[in-house]
Amino acid sequence: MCETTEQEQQWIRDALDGDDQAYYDLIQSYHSTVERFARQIGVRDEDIQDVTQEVFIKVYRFLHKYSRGKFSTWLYSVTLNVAKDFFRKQKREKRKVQKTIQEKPVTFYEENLDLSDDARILHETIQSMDEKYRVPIVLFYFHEASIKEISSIMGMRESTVKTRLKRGKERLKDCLEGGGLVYESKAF
Amino acid sequence: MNQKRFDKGMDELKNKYNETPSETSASTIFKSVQNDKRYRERRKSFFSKYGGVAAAMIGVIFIIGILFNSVMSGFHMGSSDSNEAASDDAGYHYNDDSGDGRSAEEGSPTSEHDVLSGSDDTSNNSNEELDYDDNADYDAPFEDRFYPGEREDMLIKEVDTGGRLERVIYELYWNEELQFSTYINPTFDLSISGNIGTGSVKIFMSENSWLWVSRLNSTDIDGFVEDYYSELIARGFEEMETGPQFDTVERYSRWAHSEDGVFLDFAVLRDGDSIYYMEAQQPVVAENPLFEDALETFVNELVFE
Repeated sequence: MCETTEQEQQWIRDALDGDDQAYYDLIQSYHSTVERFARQIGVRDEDIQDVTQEVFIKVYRFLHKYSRGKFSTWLYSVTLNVAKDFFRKQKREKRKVQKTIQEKPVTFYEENLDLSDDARILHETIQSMDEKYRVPIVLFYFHEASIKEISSIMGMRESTVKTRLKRGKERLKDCLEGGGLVYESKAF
Repeated sequence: MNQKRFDKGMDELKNKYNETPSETSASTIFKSVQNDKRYRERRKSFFSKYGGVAAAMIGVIFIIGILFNSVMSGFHMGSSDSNEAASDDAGYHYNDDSGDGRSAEEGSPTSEHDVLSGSDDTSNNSNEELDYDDNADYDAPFEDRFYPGEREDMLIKEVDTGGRLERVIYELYWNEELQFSTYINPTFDLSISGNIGTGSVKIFMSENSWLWVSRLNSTDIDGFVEDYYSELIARGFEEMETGPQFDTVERYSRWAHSEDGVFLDFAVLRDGDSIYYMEAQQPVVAENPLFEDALETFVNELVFE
């Protein structure tokens, strides 16, 4: 996970002073990371634009409250909360229309990825994992987040993060050896 | 071997994820941010236009209410007991549970919370929200209670009431029972009720506008929020897109009940091994920037000691 650069600090300061170009530059710098993280924690392809937009709307509204710490840590935290709220809303809407509309199959990256057997098993296992294991695994292995940063993003103790990472990794290894045992996912 | 295979697979997966082209564009996101900004500005200007009228109407109704109460209390003169002293609505009041089962929380719209928080107290069925307890120490000002932290006594803010900046002086409020401090707007018709041992406090900003803070001995925010939202939906509330801006909490949302004509703001945060949740309710007609700011200030300035 990258440090907040001097340039980013400047964008934040300028955006707070009302410089729209500075906020645009901040979006430009981070939107792919937000999008990637949202996908990896389970946001569907068709919802990815809405979630990414919502993240930057929230960041803009609360930018004046961001004062210290890594900007990226805060951004991941906002993304996680937006995704959770999005899943919840989606779940409620799904209940309302359950009788009339056939649920679309959930897709995450599948159409865009050309994976080896092992990588496919890992990908599918991560996507079917309970979110309490999935989020730390994604942050640790795909976003270079430290244990401390994950604990800050998820709002939990470092010892809990370590335990979840360890168990998550064990499950992934088990699945890899077992040739793709799929765990049932638990909604946010 | 196993570790090597795992590392190789994860590396490949990471590379594939990173190679996947982005589907979002910075300009589209920026446009949506600008649209949201414009929407908020329009909303603010709407309340600056009509919020004053609504506030004036509420003020008139409130004064009529006070006059009516004064006239009614005149009929009962000579037969009143110590409850009469407690009906003085000025200043801060704290209602400790004296154990006689007539606490201020009886019948408050919190019975759902008792269910959620697992309370087995089923005696809360009265509608006497402000029925003060005879033995409670109503006159003990909060300022005199021991406050362990170091915070300024006052917080001065300039609130945009729609094109006009209004200076608001918030006062430090310390809740001994829940061990938190924050700032409240003392110009509201402020009455505070709470029960020792229940882990909750209710702050009335007016008869129909109140804020409720409660503590649960749990850290499962997701589970709590899920249950709470289901409860609200069952009660006929609908989630709204906009609402106050709470930035120190883990979740918040605004809900509206079209039949009852009320807004309900909900926020939840975690501190240590407990979850604290806030629920604020106000009539839709009373929505005004000062109340909104009072809510935001209360929640955003919350510090647990």
